[in-house]
Amino acid sequence: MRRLVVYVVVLLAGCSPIVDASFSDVEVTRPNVSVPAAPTGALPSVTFSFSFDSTTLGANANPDAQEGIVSVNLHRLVLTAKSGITDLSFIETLHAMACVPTSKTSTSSSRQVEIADFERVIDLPVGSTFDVPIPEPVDLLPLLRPSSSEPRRILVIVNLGGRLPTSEWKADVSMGLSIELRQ
Amino acid sequence: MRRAILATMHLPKACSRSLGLLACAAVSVSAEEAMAQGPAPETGQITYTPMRRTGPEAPPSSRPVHAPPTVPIYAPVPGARSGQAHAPPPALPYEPAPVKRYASPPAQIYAPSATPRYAPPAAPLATPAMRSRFATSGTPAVVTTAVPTQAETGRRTMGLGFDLGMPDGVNLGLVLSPADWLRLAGSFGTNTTGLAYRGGLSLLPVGWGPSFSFEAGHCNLAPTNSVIRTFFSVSAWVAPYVQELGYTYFNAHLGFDLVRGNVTMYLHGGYTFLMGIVRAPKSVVVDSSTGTTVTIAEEGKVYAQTLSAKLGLVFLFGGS
Repeated sequence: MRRLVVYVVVLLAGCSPIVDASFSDVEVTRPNVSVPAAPTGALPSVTFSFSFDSTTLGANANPDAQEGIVSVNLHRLVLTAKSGITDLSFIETLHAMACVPTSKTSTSSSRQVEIADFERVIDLPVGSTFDVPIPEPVDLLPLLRPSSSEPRRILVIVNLGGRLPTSEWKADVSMGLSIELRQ
Repeated sequence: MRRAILATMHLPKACSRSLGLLACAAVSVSAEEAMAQGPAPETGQITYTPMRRTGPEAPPSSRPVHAPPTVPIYAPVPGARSGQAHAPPPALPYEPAPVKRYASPPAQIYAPSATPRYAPPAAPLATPAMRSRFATSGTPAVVTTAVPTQAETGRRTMGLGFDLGMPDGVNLGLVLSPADWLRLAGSFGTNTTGLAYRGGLSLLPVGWGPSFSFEAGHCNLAPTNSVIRTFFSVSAWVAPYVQELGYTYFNAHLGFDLVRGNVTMYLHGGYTFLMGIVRAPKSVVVDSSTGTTVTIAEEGKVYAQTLSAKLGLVFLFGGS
């Protein structure tokens, strides 16, 4: 009897469960992103960037750990005005790209993903929240599989165009993700 | 002539009168002879046999109209039940008659079986009233109407069960065992975080030893702890997001049940399919330097297939 119990415990310990988990709406929010003042000109544009640690999002250099994340898709990108402005209707173009920087201080990258490419067609009021249209989900999984030499960090670079404010303003940037896990 | 005619006319009358006198004399003589040969009759005793009328309450064929049989009709039948097979004896005294209408007692309805389910015939009557009605034959009819009960047969059907395992947790509940090979259970408990309840059945083909168990259970949504996270092998980076977990599970187990009297101890193990939901009401800070947070806006769905096991104890009430 005792031997049987030992066998069962060893068997259970050696066989971890097969777990499939899916999260359809995970929101990653980077608050208070500073946007510099736009230069005066005919078609002014401004580029700003922000980064955040991706370790808690599952980024791992270990291939076995990487297998645990089946898919990460971006299906929503939202800018919310926090200070300096109250209306984001001035945005006419928006291009965003996410990447894994080669170092913590560098903006260069060997793996990058374009996450938004927007151009306003109809002039409609937006308000303080701008929900960037994303035609189809964007696969962000490469960003969570850094090499051993790359930092576990995601850098997002955004370029805005339009009748931009001439003073600095701040906004929250949120990314809606759907994640599937298996372990 | 006239006298002659008259004389002849009186002649037959005289002859007939004389013949009548002679006959009377002969009869009286024979009567005296007969009286002289036989015993003198006893005076003052009259014997008659009353006729019983057939009543409307019973058909004539069912009643003994004539003399009762020499063999008592209501003699006790071994193993017969009282008051069921025979009518009570007649109250009127019958004179014995040589003719025997009923040659044998009624057939034995309740034959004694090999297993002594009834008391032996030597036992006394159950009640004094029955004894007085059936005591005419000298040997009392004996019957006990005992029906075997569950306690006499040693069958135990209900009890309590306790078990410990994952993903079931700790459960305490009722056990119903209508047969040796079948055990039904319903229980409440906890998976160490929230309320859990479960129902299932166990099949024991030989009443003990190998068993097959099928169960379905549910654990309410509740904050997780290290026990739950360890069982589900939750990765370190996922752990902050698994703040609340609730699940429904189905077990298919093989096991071994050790039965000792009223107590059964078992170890079951096998396959479990589980489906649940994960919630994270609180945002998770993924980068404190920038204040980046992650919020699970919509509850996540979890499906798991795993090996599972539990150790349990069943105590059945009653029986011998």
